[in-house]
Amino acid sequence: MTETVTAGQRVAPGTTPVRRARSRRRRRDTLIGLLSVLPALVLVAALMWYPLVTTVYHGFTDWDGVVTKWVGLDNYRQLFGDGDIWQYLRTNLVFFLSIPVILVISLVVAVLLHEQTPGARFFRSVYYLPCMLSVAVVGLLMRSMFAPDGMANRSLSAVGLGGLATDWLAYTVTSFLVLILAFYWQTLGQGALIFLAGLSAMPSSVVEAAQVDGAGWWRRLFRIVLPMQTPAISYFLVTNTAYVFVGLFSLIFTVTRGGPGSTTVPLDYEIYLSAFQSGDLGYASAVSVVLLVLVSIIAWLQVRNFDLYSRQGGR
Amino acid sequence: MGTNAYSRRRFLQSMTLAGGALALGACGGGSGSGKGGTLTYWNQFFPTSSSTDKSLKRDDFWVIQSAKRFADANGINVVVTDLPGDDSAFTKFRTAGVARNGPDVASLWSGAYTFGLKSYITPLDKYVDGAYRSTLTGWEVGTEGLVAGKGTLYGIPPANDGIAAVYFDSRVLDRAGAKVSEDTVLEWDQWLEVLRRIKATGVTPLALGNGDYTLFSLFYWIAQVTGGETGLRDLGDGTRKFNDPALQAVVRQWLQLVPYALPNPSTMDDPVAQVGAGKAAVVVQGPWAIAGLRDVLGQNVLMTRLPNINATAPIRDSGIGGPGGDFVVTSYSKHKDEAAAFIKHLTSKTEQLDRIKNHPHEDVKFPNLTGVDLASLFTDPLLVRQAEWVNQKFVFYADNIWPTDLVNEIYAQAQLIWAGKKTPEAFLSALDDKRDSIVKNGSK
Repeated sequence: MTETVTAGQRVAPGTTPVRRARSRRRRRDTLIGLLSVLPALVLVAALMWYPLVTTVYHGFTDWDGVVTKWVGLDNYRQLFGDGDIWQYLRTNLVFFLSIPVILVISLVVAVLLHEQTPGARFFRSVYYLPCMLSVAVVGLLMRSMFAPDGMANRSLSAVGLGGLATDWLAYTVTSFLVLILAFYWQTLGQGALIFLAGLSAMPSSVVEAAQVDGAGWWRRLFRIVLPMQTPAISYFLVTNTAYVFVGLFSLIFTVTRGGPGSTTVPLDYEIYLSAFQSGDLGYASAVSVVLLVLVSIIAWLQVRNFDLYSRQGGR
Repeated sequence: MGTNAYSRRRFLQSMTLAGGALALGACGGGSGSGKGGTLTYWNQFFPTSSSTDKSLKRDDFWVIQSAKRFADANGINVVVTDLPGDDSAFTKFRTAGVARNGPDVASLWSGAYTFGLKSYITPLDKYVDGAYRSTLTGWEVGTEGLVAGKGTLYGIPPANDGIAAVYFDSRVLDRAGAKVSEDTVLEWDQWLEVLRRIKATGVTPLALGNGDYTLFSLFYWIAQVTGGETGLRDLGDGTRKFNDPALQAVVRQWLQLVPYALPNPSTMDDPVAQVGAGKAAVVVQGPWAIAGLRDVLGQNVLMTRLPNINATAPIRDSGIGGPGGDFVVTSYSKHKDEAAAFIKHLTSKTEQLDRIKNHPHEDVKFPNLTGVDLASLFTDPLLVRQAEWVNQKFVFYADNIWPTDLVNEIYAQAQLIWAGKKTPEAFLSALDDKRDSIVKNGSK
């Protein structure tokens, strides 16, 4: 559609009919754009921002789900004052320190799969299976395997190592061993998949050139293959670091329930206990806010890491 | 267009009919005609399935039949939904309370468990008159302060659990040459001697589950030396310290059981099955274990009261138990009158006696009716004896008296001390710390 300017019609300085039309179109595009994102914005606001804001607010209250009473910083004083938070964080820290080991195991498995070692074809079809099981299933399996008369103790006895049979979930150290084994079992498939993807994306010419130059298998592995996996390693580290702070609930709930005592209670499980067992939703909100801050720092590190790597050209 | 063509009008008519049929079907999901709306009951106490007799259908169980009778008589739909039997039921009830989408009536654990959820519960005083009160026993367990008639009534007891007792495989006792009589209560040294003799036969004596080694035994022995419910209340509110020489001695004695028990009671799911499998010979449980024990041991079950902790304890030859649960009406129910009437129906003499007489396959819960000779309702000698004990003085469950957070702390700390990771002093001191923290933060 075109517009004509007739004699006597005033035209604002710098405004032509074409420009007006363009401006209208821009406004219309903006409106359409806003309307398009509105449903998503409403959903994000309702499902993320509203709960987040109310959680921060309730962190300053004594709230049982019905009655709310402003108590200022009392919940935070209680959390840091009785020192329990350090015990919960210790549990998170134990998992955090276990990540490098599963990283190495996943890398080894990925390299063996990539190198088509004997049995690789079979293993390639089964290694991801544990990732497809729900954590609840893995947890219950672990609980029954490591019961006093479970498969672990029976197997030890069967091979003449009955002296090593123990009440696995009755002691803190062995409870952590069981939990970390479950964590590894679930993470191995994911880790191997990440590294296998990284290895597959690696240009074969680089490895072949090194081979021509006389580099042996080990030298190629440590000098070429692994350095080129740095982005994958970084991704694996940051995602699992986030997991050990916010994702342990289901594993702990199904395997140890925080026991023995409360020695395997991580921060996210404590939120469940204080909110839904003790009914102290205000205190639980305060713990949630502390966890939010922690995870935000982790997320910031994650973004910063990726920025760093992308600036370095992915190296 | 052929004659069989489906016009848009016909399609819309069909969809309307189908939708209407679905809506009607949904309304008819519970018991009764539903003319007066729907009453939802979250049931934690009464079975609606059997792990041993798969031929029993849901409709064969008392609570379902009773709900149907109420629905038919009152023209209201009653939907019975099962709650988990453990403390996760409270999580479900609490979250439903926050969302206000829970039931009209629920069965909860009584005492402190119920009072901890009172934000979501309607006080029942105005629904309960003197005539109704006089028909039931155990009103104190749902009354805040645990004194009947002297506080707000939040829960109505549906039955009496009976008291925790010791059950022996009598064949193992015979093999061990251990003398145990149903009529006498073992003193502590005699109890240890019996366990020692059983162990000498090659069978681990005790199979204890999570509640068995704490709330059914340790808590009773604590109550024995502290003077019963008064002493337990003093421990719960801080008037008395856990960490004192008398209770240290109790805990030391309790730990003498460790070498005679299967490992890790906190994760043992089914102690009776361990006895059935011949891996143990003794369990400590309430009368609900009797049916299972009869299944695996037949007549070879010998039941005694819990042993006495020492000769000077103010409470002796007694037990721990009582009405461990109660019925509550939620604060957000839109059918409070009907909900209260439903509770009265479930606790009526007719219904309670029907539960005992016509549903022998269900785990026993003793009627809490006044003026009824409980022992005459049973034929199994173990149940007859338990029914006699119910009418005698015993200590109410400590976990229903103490704050729930304190009880959870005891469960947690008990795992550590049972595994040898804590001394009695450290264990009791941790309980004092927790109780003090609860008392302090409770008034936040």
